[in-house]
Amino acid sequence: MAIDEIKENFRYDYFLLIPTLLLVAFGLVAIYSASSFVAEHKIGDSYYYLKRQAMFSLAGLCIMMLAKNIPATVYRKLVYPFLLLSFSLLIVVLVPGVGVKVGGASRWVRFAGYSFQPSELAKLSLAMYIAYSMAKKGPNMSFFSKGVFPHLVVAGAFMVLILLQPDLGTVVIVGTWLLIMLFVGGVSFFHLVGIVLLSMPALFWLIWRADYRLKRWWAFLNPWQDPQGLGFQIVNSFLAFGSGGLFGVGLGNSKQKLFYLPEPHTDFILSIIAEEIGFIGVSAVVVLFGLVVLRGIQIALNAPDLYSTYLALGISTFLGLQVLINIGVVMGLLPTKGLPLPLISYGGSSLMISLLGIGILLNISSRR
Amino acid sequence: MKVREKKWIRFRIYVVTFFFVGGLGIILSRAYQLQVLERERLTSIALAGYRDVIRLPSKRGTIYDREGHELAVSISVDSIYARPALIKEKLLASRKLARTLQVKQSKIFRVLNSKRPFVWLVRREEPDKVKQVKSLHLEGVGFTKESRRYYPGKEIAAHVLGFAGTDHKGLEGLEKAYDKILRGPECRLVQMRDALGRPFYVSRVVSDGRETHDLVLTIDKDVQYRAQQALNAAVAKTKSKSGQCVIVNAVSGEVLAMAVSPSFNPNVFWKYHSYQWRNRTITDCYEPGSVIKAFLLGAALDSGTISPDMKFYCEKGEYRVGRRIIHDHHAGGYDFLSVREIIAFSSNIGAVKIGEKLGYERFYEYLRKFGFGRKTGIDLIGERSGFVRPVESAKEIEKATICFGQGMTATSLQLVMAMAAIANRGRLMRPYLVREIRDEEGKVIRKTPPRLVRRVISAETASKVAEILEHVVSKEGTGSLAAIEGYRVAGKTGTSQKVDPRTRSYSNQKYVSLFVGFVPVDRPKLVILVMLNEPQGNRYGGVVAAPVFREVGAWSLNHLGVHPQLVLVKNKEEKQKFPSRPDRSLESKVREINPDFLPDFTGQTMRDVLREARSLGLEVVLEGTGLAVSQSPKAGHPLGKISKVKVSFHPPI
Repeated sequence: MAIDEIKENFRYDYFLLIPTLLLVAFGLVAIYSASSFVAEHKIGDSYYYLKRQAMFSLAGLCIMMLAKNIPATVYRKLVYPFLLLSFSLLIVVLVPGVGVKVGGASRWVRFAGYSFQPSELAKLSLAMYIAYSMAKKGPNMSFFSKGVFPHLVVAGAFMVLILLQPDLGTVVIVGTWLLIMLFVGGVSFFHLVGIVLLSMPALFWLIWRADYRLKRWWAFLNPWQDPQGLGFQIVNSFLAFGSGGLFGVGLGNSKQKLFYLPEPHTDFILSIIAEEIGFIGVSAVVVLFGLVVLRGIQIALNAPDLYSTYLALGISTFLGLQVLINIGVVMGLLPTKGLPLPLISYGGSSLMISLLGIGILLNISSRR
Repeated sequence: MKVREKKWIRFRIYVVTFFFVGGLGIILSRAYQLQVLERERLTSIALAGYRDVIRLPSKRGTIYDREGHELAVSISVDSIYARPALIKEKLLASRKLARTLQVKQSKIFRVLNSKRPFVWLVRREEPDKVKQVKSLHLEGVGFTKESRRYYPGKEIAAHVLGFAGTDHKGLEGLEKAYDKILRGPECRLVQMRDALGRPFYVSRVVSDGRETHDLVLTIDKDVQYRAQQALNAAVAKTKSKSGQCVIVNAVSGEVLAMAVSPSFNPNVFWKYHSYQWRNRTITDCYEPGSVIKAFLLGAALDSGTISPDMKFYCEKGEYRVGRRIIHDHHAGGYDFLSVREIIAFSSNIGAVKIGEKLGYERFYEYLRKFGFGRKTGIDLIGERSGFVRPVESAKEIEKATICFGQGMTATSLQLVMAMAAIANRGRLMRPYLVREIRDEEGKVIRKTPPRLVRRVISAETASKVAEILEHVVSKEGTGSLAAIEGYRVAGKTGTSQKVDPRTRSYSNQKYVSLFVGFVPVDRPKLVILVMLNEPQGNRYGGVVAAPVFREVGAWSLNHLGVHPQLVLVKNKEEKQKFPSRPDRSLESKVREINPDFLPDFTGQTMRDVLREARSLGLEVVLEGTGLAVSQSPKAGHPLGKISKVKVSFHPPI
């Protein structure tokens, strides 16, 4: 029995695992290349970000293995505790003194020398809750009061809290993701359209109210009008893509990372990848993400029960959505959002939560 | 319950998948667009962002005069720059710099706040100020050597030389015309820098392989200086608006001096108006007045229409052509004048009569051959061609007035070259300013040969014209004040009314006074033009311009070692005995000389003896006048043993 169990514990869905590991490894290389100059300049240790990300990766992989091997029933039991935990963390992060303010937004809580981003956990716990709730509602999903309203209230509460940080980018992602989930869950098309129409004015108002959001919009629409100012980041991202060409300038040879491109190791890491290994590298990253997400969707389709289907789909769509939006931003297809590229960008919370999600997918995949 | 059974969920998941894959497709095509299609554009912008091409100042070539005096040199001086990113206390720094450099603090402050990584504070500053700034020990302020153009002669030949600007680019004059040759190699180094302005890669210096070349001009600095001085003095004395003086070598077309008054100092060219930089001798076209009669004479004699002794009735000073009456300056006019006299007295009516006999078609043809209405081809930029009315569009009155230089325009250079054609036995030469181009080691890599443009009139005609023009400078002639003692001078005066731009008719106050002539007549060396623009008081070319000719001419002949012709034209008889020898010229009658032995000088004129002896490197002691009759040592004496030869002359019977 024991041997069987151990064997079971190490039987992974390699179609999911291998692309994931490749992306993480890829991320480590890219982070080192992108951050070494900035790290040397700011901290005096060019390996600073690499070391930390390597540690996060290790921790993340452990979490992933753990998640894969937890009995399925635990996930059902964890839905509400998780929801509660992330909800309270979202409140705590807003408390002055506890939440760490960076650049006017308090998005992190400090914990034992590391800062953690509650909104990352919130996304996962929301995915678990929505999947659980939708599976429970079953055919009642088409009723507004049962299928739409409760989910809107819970997700809405989360979104308001995230908005207070403020982090409109995450709110938009959560909202979009919620619409996708409700759509798959069987909510009628008219209800969805109604929700979109009703939320539009709110979104416009939020953008209009905040100066920096307006400026980002402006920069998105006219990046070349002010290449030294508002369009600086996106223009330098373009230049990085263009300089890379088909095969790139070679690993480590990026010039845009020399302080031209702000935050080259986090949100705009794909620009550096594009410059250093060119269109080929970008395609590889895109294809790997495609494999991960499509495999996740396949897992959802083959899942043993409806909850697992929804959970697998929720995690996959969250991942896929973030990938599309991040890449869309660095390529100037979408306005700038403070959003990392999952599995690749520097950042412990994002990486560990993403790997936790992958772990859950592996778990579901092993039970079909 | 498995999702397999729920077809509608499967369908909706497929829809989501479809959109996701579509999103990936959009992303990949966008990446393709940015990285493959727009690659070049984006790359060039990116390179421009972090690549600095630093042009290193290359030393411009030196410009020498024909004797090897430096006219334009490049010297090394300090320039001060700043790297704004490295200056912390910008206000303090700008205050200190402003005080030391004596400029406005706000200006420096603005420069220091520039986003650029590198800014010039001051280019080519004086050494003592540079020292003071150095002693401030400001962080982010640096110094570099740059070369600066310096014109040691200041005003001398300023209009010929022009000047080069701060970035070593020739902007005017020869500096512009020969910019590519003078500029020398452009050395560049490429510096890559990060967004903080710190260089992280500096390429080695890349030169474009050109070499620095020096120019040797035809200009003689001393003659130029003298011409300029005399011109300035004349302009001041006559209260003229401006003046011009051009001296060319009669035979080769080399320009020895080209002076414009008032001049400017090219070392501080920016302190002058741009019109003051203009080399008026090639850019200003004016009516040449009676000077043109010299060329009318040449045309009429060359075509065989007239002979020097032919007489014309000069209508007692009033001659009607169409509606206009043409006057002579002489009170009461003249009745019958020979061609000689028409030219010597500068009779307008006589000239018109000659012109009528010649016919405008032929005259026009000759004027064009003399180079009027087209550029001389001098190696400068901005030359104008003047205007001669073509036969088809010329009215009767214009055909008449052009005979005394009204109704056509010319530049000073055109006039002097046309006169040189008469002096040079009918051959029109191309004027030039650059004799040689030398490389860095001083080796001559290009030598400008004299270039014949065309033969205008026959040598015979030319000497006849020269002889008649010599009368102009005689006591009776209008140009008597141009006579230089000891030399035979020929020339023509001119005084032309300027057209008043407001009334569009000839002004009674504004004149151009001219004298164009050459010396010595039988062996022309120099052709000199003197032009004074709007002299006040007496305005006749013979009164105003001719003395300048004499002064500059006498000095230049002496300077160039052209010995006085001791056989002076004192009276007709003597002249008859010693007819000018038009057939002797540079190329005719080359005596056979054995280079090892002293030649036989007997029978030669003083000038020929001087020339020949000098070519052998001998000092000559001359005695008496006339033709050589004896010499010591005797002919055939080995040359190696002597340095001096004594030659006695005696007037022939």
